[in-house]
Amino acid sequence: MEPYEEKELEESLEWMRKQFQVLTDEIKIPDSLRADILKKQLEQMEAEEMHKQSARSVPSKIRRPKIIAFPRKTIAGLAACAVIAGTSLVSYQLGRNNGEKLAALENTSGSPSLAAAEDAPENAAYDEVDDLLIEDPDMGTPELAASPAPAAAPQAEAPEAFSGEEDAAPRMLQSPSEAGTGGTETTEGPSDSPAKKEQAFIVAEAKEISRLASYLPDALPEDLMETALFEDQENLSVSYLSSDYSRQIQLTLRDFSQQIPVPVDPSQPETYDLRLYPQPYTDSVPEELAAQVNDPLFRVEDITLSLVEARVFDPNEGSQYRGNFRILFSDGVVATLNVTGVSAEEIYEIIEQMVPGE
Amino acid sequence: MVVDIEAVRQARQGNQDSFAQVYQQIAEDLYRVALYSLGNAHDAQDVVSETFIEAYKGIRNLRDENSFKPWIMRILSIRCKRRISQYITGRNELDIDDFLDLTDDREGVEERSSQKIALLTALEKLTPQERQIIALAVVQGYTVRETAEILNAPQGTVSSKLHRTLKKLRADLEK
Repeated sequence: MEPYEEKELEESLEWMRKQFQVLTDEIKIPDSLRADILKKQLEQMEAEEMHKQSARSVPSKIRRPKIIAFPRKTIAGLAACAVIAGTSLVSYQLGRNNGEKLAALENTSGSPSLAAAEDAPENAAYDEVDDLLIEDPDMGTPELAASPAPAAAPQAEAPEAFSGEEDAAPRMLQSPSEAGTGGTETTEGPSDSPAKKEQAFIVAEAKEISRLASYLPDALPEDLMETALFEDQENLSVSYLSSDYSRQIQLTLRDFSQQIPVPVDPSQPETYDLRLYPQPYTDSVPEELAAQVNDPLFRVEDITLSLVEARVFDPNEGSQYRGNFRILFSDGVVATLNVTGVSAEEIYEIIEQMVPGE
Repeated sequence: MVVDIEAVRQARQGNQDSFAQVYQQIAEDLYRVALYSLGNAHDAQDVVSETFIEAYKGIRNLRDENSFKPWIMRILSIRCKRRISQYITGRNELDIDDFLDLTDDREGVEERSSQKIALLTALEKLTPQERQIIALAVVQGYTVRETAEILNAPQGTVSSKLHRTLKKLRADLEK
């Protein structure tokens, strides 16, 4: 902006601020937004969450029927506000139609259904675009500017091991909560396409206000698109899918900080290495190890490329990579990955992205 | 209003009372921005209380206590954007009663009332996004750079948008 334009803008602002003073002075905050009232709502919400968690830990003999629903209770008129905030805050359905089809895909043996391939992701469903992009085209595509103000998860100091090359010693990942403070910069979207930019923008917004979303990777293989992002109080689920449906990553993040599950010991490959068994997920795995081999949990600091290769591999050398495993971060968040058609190297790079600071 | 940095620090450590204290210091600012952006008290109350809860949940992630105010304002701005996107008709109308103190009986009340009505009439012609920029840059006094950061939009875009909006408003008010 030219200096004279800046001066003109400043003068306009000064003049307008004086005009608005008479209106702004009269705006009084309603009683419903007093801190003590909102604090009470918060306490009630936390009490309800604790009650739900203790109900979950009831032994199976007397386990109550499972209710799958978003919490919809209303506590007076004001509780509607708390419910809206406490339940699914994200309508980031970048592909509502594809979301249903994706659910159908996940229920199959893993092969994409031809019926579900009607709408390519690129047509789909960027129906819901941020209003800053659609309603006000003058604003342009928002850049993911580095911003000191917005919150982000504490970011790890980049460990030396992340040089992009595999060293002789296995590389370890550092959990974000073990790290000191770092930068809060957001990163650019993975590619220049408008759809990818929109995705990156929405994910960046989610990261700023959602603790679980702060674990989402910033960079993905070019051909993978986020097709659905869904969050409620306990879970955040994201699907990444290629346009031909041959490559898929299903990522679920969940907070287990109240009851942290037990990870496997990486020095015991028989508890997780699928290559040791001629037919994983079947009778070739000893019964006492089946639960671990089928769904192992690794501490994030134990994750190495070798370990990912033990879980995500191509059994017939030429067919398709498949695999699954879980990662335990030190703050109790567990990430579950189910992979089809994506190599171990690509998965390892994605996991690196999930650790803030990388 | 100035925010107590020590209280922010304690709120980051999970102290609910400190969080409530910090919120109280900024609550009016939040409500004003929401009211100007959304045009009615009901929706403004909703987004402010949503912002309160989201900020409480996320304050542990706040890296710099001095950034609390723009940080929470950003959460509010995102909430306002979502609410605006839910308005089916791209609603522009303001609930004038929500902006006026109808019990005001001080001297000069008629003159102030007509000035307020003129302002509200001019505001009603703006889009919710334009009102949001006015709320931040004019009502709250944020600089163009700060407004751009809160809205996560390019600074140049915010600057030109603000320039045009101010021109539009001024033309209406000086008629």
